[in-house]
Amino acid sequence: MSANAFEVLNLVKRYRPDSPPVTDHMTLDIGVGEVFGLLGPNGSGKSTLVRQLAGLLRPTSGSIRLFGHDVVREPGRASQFIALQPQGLALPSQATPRELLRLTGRLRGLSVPAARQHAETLLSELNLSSCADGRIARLSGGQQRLTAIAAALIGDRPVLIFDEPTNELDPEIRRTVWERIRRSARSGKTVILVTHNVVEAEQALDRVAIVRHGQILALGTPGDLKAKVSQSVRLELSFSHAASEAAPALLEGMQGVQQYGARRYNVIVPRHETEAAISHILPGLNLLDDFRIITPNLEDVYLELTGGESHAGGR
Amino acid sequence: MQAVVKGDLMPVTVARPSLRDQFSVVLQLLYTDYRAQAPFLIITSLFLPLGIVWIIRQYAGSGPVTTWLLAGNMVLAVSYGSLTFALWRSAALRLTGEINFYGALPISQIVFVVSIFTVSLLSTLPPLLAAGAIGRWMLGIPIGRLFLAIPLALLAAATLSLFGIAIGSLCRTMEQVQTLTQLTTLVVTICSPVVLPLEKLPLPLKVTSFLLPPGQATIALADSLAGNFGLRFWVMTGSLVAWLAVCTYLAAKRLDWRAK
Repeated sequence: MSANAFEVLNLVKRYRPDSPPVTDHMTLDIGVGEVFGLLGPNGSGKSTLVRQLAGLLRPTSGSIRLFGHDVVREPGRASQFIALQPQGLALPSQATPRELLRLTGRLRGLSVPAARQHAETLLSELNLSSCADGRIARLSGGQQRLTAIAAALIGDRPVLIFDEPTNELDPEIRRTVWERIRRSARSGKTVILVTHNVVEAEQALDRVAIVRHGQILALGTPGDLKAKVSQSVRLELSFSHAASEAAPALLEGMQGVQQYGARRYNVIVPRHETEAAISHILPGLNLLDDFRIITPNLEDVYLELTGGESHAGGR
Repeated sequence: MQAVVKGDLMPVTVARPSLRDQFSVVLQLLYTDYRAQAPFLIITSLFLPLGIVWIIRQYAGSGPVTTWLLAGNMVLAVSYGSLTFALWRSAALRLTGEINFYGALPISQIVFVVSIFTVSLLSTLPPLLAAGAIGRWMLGIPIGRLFLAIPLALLAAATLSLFGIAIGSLCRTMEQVQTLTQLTTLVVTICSPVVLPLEKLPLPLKVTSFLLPPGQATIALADSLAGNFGLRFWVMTGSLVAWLAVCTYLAAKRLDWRAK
């Protein structure tokens, strides 16, 4: 039995024969039940890849297999397995969220009562109940985004693709959305996430591909990528007001010390020297208000690999 | 219907609705657009023909010329209703990206085209019924002839809706949508005998009237309202059917949601 939901081989997409490829010989597998992230700067080709995976865009060459089906030859198959929340908010604008969810559920094979029940559950979970009977065109950007996410979740498709799911959402509802996505993943669904919110995504992703200029720069678990890119650890120290005079003495002899405030210091140490550096600081622990050991996060990896390119928008 | 993963792969079964259920649900989704515009469309389509026919009657009485103009009025209603709605809707689907919403759902492409076409026909019904009522009460046209005119008008509406879907899908900007809508109006009102009777048109416009669906529809409708079911009536009706086949093919081909 195959463990892969998607098998992508040598995928190339050019919009014109003489234009540079937007997808440039991409090869990757996405496992069943995996939460897979696509990260990359503006115009890197993430959304183009997703549209090919969903059967909405014909690749120039290469192959895409979804649970063994050839999506390039039979694009209609994709819609039977995949639910897509596209990047744009182009939903039937004169429908209400309640109508949209019920009807989308029915198109995904739910009976009328089941579609109604599933729609009500999602409206409640995503805080859409109060605006469920208003026209989508009149909802805020955040409410439209939530409606699009709910439309992707209804009908329990085995593969869920979210393209920038938390854009325009406030922090509280963002947390709700991430929790809902994690819950889908725990129930065995394959989840593909295109996002710029690297720090939040890191909590949810099993594996991640960092994409630039249509190519995969790095592919692996967040831990693998972090280890590959950065061999340093950052120690953050915040001295108490009374002990601020003692800081130079405590940090004397340490390499990589950076002061960034009257009483705040960063110490960047190679990973293999972390233990020695912590031992050096521990005797002065009573001088500190705060002491943190920070390993590099996915955003550091992302910025290092993409050269710090802007990561707003998408293509 | 179930889609089952092939071979020794993970057994995933996914429900897929029948074509009839797909049609019913997509129609409900597309109907929401019509619903938003319906009050305006219905009021306009009911009162405009009434006013036009009343004015014409003051000038021309209730003879064959008025009957001809009533047929033209029906075709105008069909053109402005179904053709422009279909043109605008299919263009908007692409321009806004809404087609991706439908494309990502398990909907048969032909079901989608038929659903847009059906909603377009909805926008045709109020003006057609208004024109029929006017024909009966103001011009004294026998009810039997009016009933015969309705399927003919719907045939014209079907052809023009599908033609609208096909050309709407060619648009890449809203400006193109507006230009094509105005061009359509020009073709309908100038190249077809909907404002002037066929006999009064110059030769080039007589030719376009016989070749293009709005002209064919007006000629067939006028013949039917006047009770003339000769060769011309049947040739025009046959030509409309041929256009319907061509436009169905073009609409299905053009409204492919899989971008190249």
